[in-house]
Amino acid sequence: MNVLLSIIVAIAFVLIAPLLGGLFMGCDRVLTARMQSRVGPPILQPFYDVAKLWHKEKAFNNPVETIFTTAYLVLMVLSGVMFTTGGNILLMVFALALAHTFLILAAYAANAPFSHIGAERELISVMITEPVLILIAAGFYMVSGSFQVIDLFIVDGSGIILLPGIFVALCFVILLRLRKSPYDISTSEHAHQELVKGVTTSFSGRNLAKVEIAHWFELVILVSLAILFFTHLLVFSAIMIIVCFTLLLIIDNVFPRVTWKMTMKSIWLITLFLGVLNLVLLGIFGVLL
Amino acid sequence: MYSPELIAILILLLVPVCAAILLAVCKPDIIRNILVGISSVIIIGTSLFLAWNAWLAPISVTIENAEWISTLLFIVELAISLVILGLSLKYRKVLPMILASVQLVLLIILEVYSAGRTHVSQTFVVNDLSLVMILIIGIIGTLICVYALGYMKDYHDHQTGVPNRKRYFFALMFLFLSAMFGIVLSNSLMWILCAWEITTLCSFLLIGYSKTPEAVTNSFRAVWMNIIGGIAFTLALIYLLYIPSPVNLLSVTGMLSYPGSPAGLTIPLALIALAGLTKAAQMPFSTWLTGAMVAPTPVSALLHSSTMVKAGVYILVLFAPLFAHTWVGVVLALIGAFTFLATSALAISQSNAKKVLAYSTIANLGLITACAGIGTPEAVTAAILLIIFHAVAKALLFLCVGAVEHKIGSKDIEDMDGLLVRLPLLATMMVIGICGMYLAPFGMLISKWAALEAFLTAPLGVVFVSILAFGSAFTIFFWTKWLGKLFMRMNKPPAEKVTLHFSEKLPVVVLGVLVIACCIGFPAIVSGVINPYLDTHYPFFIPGGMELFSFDNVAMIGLMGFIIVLLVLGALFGSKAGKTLPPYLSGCAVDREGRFLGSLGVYKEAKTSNYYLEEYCGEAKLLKPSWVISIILIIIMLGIGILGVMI
Amino acid sequence: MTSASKSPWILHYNASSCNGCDIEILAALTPVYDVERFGIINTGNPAHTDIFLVTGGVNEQNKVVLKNLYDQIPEPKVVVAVGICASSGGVFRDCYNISGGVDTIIPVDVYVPGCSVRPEALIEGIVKALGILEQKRAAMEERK
Repeated sequence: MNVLLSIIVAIAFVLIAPLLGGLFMGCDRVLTARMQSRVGPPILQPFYDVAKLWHKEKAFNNPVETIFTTAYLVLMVLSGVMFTTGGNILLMVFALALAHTFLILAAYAANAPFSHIGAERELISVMITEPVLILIAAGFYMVSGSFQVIDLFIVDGSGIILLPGIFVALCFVILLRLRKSPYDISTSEHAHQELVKGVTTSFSGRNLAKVEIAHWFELVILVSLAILFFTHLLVFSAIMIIVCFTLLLIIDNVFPRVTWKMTMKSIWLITLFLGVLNLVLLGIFGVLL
Repeated sequence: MYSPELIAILILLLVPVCAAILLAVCKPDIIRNILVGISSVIIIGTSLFLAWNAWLAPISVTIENAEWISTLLFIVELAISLVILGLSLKYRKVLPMILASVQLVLLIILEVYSAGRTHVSQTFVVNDLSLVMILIIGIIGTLICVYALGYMKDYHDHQTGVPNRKRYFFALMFLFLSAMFGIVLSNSLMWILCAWEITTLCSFLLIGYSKTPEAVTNSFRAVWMNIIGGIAFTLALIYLLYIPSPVNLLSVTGMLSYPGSPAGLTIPLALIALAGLTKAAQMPFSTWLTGAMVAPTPVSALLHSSTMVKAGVYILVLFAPLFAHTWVGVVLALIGAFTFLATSALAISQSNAKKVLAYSTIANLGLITACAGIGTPEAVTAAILLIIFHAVAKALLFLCVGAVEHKIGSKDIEDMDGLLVRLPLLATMMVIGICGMYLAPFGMLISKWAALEAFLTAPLGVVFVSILAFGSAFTIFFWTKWLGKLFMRMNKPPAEKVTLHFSEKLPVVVLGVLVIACCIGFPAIVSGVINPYLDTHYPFFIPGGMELFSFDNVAMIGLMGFIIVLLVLGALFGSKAGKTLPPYLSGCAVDREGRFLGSLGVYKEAKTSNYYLEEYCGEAKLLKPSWVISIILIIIMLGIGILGVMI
Repeated sequence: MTSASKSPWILHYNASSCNGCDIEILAALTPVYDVERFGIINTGNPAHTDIFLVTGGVNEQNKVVLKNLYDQIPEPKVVVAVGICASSGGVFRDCYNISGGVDTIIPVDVYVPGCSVRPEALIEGIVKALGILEQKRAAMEERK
């Protein structure tokens, strides 16, 4: 891809991704409310929240929070830009991990019990996510012979046919990364619960707004990662996204939060038995295809 | 009459020995400081000179009277075995005694059978791989010796029960440097074996420096495990004598240019692999390295992270072209990869900073072993990158932990909260070291990427990739929680003003700069050093075949680095305006330090500690199963070696 | 109306209330009244809070806590005293350990009387508080 096109795509991503992410969050809140026979907030509510937070007084537990949350946002954007410009998927995974490291460090910096527990739990979820993301990169490499996202579009056939196990593992990781029940271990999705929003407890005002926006970006990145499995089946992928979204909402509303141990066990078992097995079979039979 | 290269080699081998003798004799601190300073400057200068020359063109020189030197070295080997035997007798340690006797007998057998046949045409060979090792030993090694000057002063101020044997300590450190140069410079396997044994002895004596019961036990554990490696090495050499070959197999160049099928070499290769595994403290031999952490920190930094254990993997990487396409290599790689996974998990359960560093060292050595066992050019690239980045970053971390321990009186990570406020310089360097160990865009991550790419094309590649994926997840966990502690706001009053010795400050800062320099210069390292090395050892090697080193990716890594620099600048010079809130403790905190006021008027500090996942990652849980698995793997490796199976 | 009043996040603190008003507050958060329609979220954390709801007459034990929580809320913030005890001390006003109303400890912007307060009154009070929040934010912008 030439440089000019890359820059245009990057700028488009930076502008559109937060809109999509915010709208998704808005839909999520409205639909959740409907499931509980409530009316729910306006669909643009996430944007109102962020705008309000942006204008609050600057306050923090530790001045480094400001720069760490900025780093979280910037690296999340960078990771997304790498992805959408057809760049290297491994590098994107590393940038994503780096971004989360900054969020965790910001939570640590407060040295307060709630945010410390949140930070540890967030760290555990990063740890749980990492193997899946690396296996996705490895799987794509085995399919297309390259880590470049762009090369996946050249391959005949879609990732979903060759990598179904990996795709299922990714779905669970999305559930974890969106901090949805039953895997909302690091933040407690609802603010008044015992973790008091865990990892974000110590952030207020602008810092919290940055974390929120970064979260929208992350959502878009993860969903596009899932779409990548359907490179030649765009209509089908749109249907899949809607189905997955609905499932996610139902799961979120039906299940209570599980412990971090349960989270680790369930997701890693899926990763091992579906993800790794998928790659092993691909390694054995890949030659035949 | 000698060429400048030969003189440089001799300086590297002999100056540390002379310095060791002088240091053993001179008592006053001031003379010791001067001696260490002068010899360090000489060693650094010479190693730079030699490395430069070797970079221009690989050096191979011959020395006259090699037979005399061989005899002298044989006597040294006998003496080492006798010293170990004597000390085992003195402390009534049966296992080391038996193993040392076996080693003694084997050495004599080797000497008798090899008499008159050990003529090696090239005495010293310096290629691009030994160049890397020379720079690591020459620069990092001497810096650690300089650091030890200030450290040992504080050490004896703190550990009043330990007898002051600084002369002995420094003599051993320099003797060790000489032995390390011997391993990487010599071409003759007999000489390498001798230097190998000297490093074992130095490590043994230095671990037991404080003479506490724990130190004595651990030092004997280290010695018996290392003697197993020595025995395997000796057996390999004896076996090599019996292989008919037109080239002299008792030399590195001879082995690498063996004209027959490598299937004929699998037995000595398996034995050498075992020797490398013991020296590199791979499972099931990992306990000697974690036990070695009782030694003073410079010892841990020099012997047990950046150089001696690297000798183990250096030998493996050296013979990597032979390991490629043999099942011995694949099983060796499995042992390494398994060690990486198990010790990364074990590191999570440790709160002692030195223990964490020890486990992480073993883990990284495991990754290098895995790469060496696979032995393809891509894997060797990853292995060499790992050796470089790990040596620099880990040495830095050890030195920081050592200095911090003397300033705050603890090496527990839980006590390091808010270190960035309490000891800004040391903590900054520690942050650089930790980032260098696992975060993008720093070095280790680049090497892990290279390893991943190499694994994908290897036999059983998926297994290696999965192990790497889970292992790196553990790595992220234990490093991040340590990093987090450093950035915490202070809930305690800062410690009183502490000063750092100049001899401690200098190596720490230089190493910190080196970590960053290596990261910036990694494309240069790959194209300037690693590619020429691979070119000479792999006939079908195409430079630039790895995706990692394509321009786009290097540019992206550069961009990431640039963003990090901007963020650091932002942190230093950005606006810090705003209200600082006390930590949220349900409104109960009574002061800004976040203390609770109890119902009886007692102040309680709200303290939370990191997760250690003892239930899953504790030593009690993981060590024994890991031993069983790794011993089975080693037996398989030796069995395959005997069968001589090829892929 | 700016974003400030479209997304008021509340913090609820019981300063020795009899729990009557607290139950009504929670009732207002149930699907029947569904205050999330107005973007209202019950946070448990002063750092995220805009509107501080306090019930009860404030006794000696929780004076400090109340003050701490108030100090930890970033500007602009509005305090709503919920129920008659919070407004004036109510029937407990003369008790030996009661300060007599939230405003004896921290400044209060809106008083919602009642024993116990009804959800409708509470929502009305919060809507009043939103107006004050707007004013405070405008004042803050001006100071900049």
